Amino acid sequence: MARKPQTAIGLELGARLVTLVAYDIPHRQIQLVAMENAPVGWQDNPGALGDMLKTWLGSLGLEKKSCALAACVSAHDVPLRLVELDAEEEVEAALRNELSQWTGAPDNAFYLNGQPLSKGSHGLPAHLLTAFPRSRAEGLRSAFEISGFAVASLGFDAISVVNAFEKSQPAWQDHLAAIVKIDAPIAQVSWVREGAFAGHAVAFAAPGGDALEALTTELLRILKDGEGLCGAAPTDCRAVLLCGEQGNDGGVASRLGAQLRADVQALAAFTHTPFPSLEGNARQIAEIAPQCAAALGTALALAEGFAR
Amino acid sequence: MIQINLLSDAIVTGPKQNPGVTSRTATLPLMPTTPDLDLDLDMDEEPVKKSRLPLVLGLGALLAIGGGAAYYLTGTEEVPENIPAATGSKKAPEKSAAVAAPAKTPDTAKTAAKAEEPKPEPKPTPVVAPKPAPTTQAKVPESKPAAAAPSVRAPALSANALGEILAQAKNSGTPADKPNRFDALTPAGRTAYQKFAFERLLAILRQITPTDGIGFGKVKITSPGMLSIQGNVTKPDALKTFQKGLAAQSLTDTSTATGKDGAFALVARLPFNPSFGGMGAPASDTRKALQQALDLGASQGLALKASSAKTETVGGQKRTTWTLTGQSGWDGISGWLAGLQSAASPIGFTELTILAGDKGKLLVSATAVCYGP
Repeated sequence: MARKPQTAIGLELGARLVTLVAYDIPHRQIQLVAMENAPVGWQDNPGALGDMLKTWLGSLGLEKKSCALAACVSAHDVPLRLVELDAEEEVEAALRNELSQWTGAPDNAFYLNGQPLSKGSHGLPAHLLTAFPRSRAEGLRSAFEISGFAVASLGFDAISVVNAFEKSQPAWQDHLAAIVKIDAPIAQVSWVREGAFAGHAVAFAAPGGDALEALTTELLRILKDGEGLCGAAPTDCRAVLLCGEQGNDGGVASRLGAQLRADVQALAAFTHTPFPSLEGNARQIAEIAPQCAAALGTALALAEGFAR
Repeated sequence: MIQINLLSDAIVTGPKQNPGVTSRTATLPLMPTTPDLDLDLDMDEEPVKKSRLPLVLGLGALLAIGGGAAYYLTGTEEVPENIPAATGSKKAPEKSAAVAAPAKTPDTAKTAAKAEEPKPEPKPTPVVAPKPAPTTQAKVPESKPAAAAPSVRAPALSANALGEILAQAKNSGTPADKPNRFDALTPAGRTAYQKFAFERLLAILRQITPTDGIGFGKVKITSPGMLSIQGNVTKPDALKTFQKGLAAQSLTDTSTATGKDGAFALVARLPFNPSFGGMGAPASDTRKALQQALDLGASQGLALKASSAKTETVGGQKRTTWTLTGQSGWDGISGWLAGLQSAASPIGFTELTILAGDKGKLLVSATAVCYGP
């Protein structure tokens, strides 16, 4: 009989920071949260990332035999879309056709994931289409081989924060909400409508000047225009939940809140997932929760997979 | 939850809940597994026969008369010599927030241990004798290995990682007047602490128990944080490993008595932790509080029945007591206690007993208390 891991490790591989959340599956609670600087330029140097992970994960005392690990990377530069497909067309062929139209690259250059999800811009059933360059996937796979930790799955941070939102903010599940992950100079908006993923948009700060200020301006435009949003009007957005490295930045929240009708607040990703070793440290939890949302969502999705 | 895996092609053409229609999946690295871990949390051996339990209970009572009471009254340090200090264990999460706080120096811990005896609460009755006795003289009845060993060993928290977390956060400070003894807490504060301590002890127990070679016939936790265990070992080193685990988790006053055929009885104490969380509040409606506790149990697969309420006035406050009984697995009990904490339930416990039942089930009995009208 295959044995299930006891700890699901969610790892967010950010441009500057690597964030880890260890989720205790039997106890349904967070066991460990840790952050470490990522090697500069690790995207082009899987060996450096692997060495760093090997040293760092080893120092955390995580037992390989009892852990399962999933990771997520930024979705800011790869396809992540909801697409409505012709019902007459074979799904895989249609998705590959869509992908080739977006990227212009041969479809075999990507690992392609598709699954029925939510509705498209015309209110018809849609598929969530994600793609990731095979070369980058293989690089990450080799990095984890070096680290000694096998990676069970690799996801996108924009999806992971939606998973964290689903778990931590059930009160917003009946509404349209935007989960905004801010890692200056990039921010990503994941739209969630009635608990289902409803679109994705990316904001880039213009070079020069205050990156966060420029990013906030761009975010305001995206949120007002409903960029990337499928099957709903942006004016229906009731909540904007901020997460990521600058998810706790009060300046961003206050500026967005002043110009949007939606309730703007930090994503309290640990609200419904107990963290006993930090019990009683509410302020610390509130400060780290938005930064760890992607890693937590990754771990929760992995744990749910084992629970099935 | 949306689950994607960018390391492979996976196109689902049917409902997303049906993974069987995935058209293609690339080969993934095998997940690391270990032959000595079983997440199903089933009992790793046959359940202890009920007929054995009275015998083990008899052992506990007998040994308690022999030395246990004297041990606690005198506070004599009787940690077996072969148990290393907490810092000597590689797996010890010494710096975890929940554990690090009570890690006092031996002197202060001992002083606090004497001071924090739970005077206002029903006095915990040690069931097993803490005083080590020669094996030849121990009157431990023969019994088969007990079966209620929790097969969970969670990885230890890293001191470095926690430091990083706390380094990012502002120091919230600690009020100078925070009670540092259990009996200095308000009645509602005591119930809050009891939930914390019981949940913590159960978590420690599950974390440090060797995956095989040891079984428990009875586990009893009494307020404010006394752990009593009766069981059997089938491997010579299992009990020693278990004792090391207790020491590594900063449990104090550990004492063990062994008998024939691997039978043992053990007690240990969780030192008072002043940073256990919220100070609690009396219930606005004790019946609703009880119902909430029962519902939380049901949500974790722990169907509980409550005895009729017994209400008395203690120190000017009304205290309602129930006996809750049910059966579940380790997960259900841990989840229930964690849920009560998360929900800030006003209910606390003076006693929680777990017995090995039939078919791997655990029989749970708890004395619950609640202050309020």
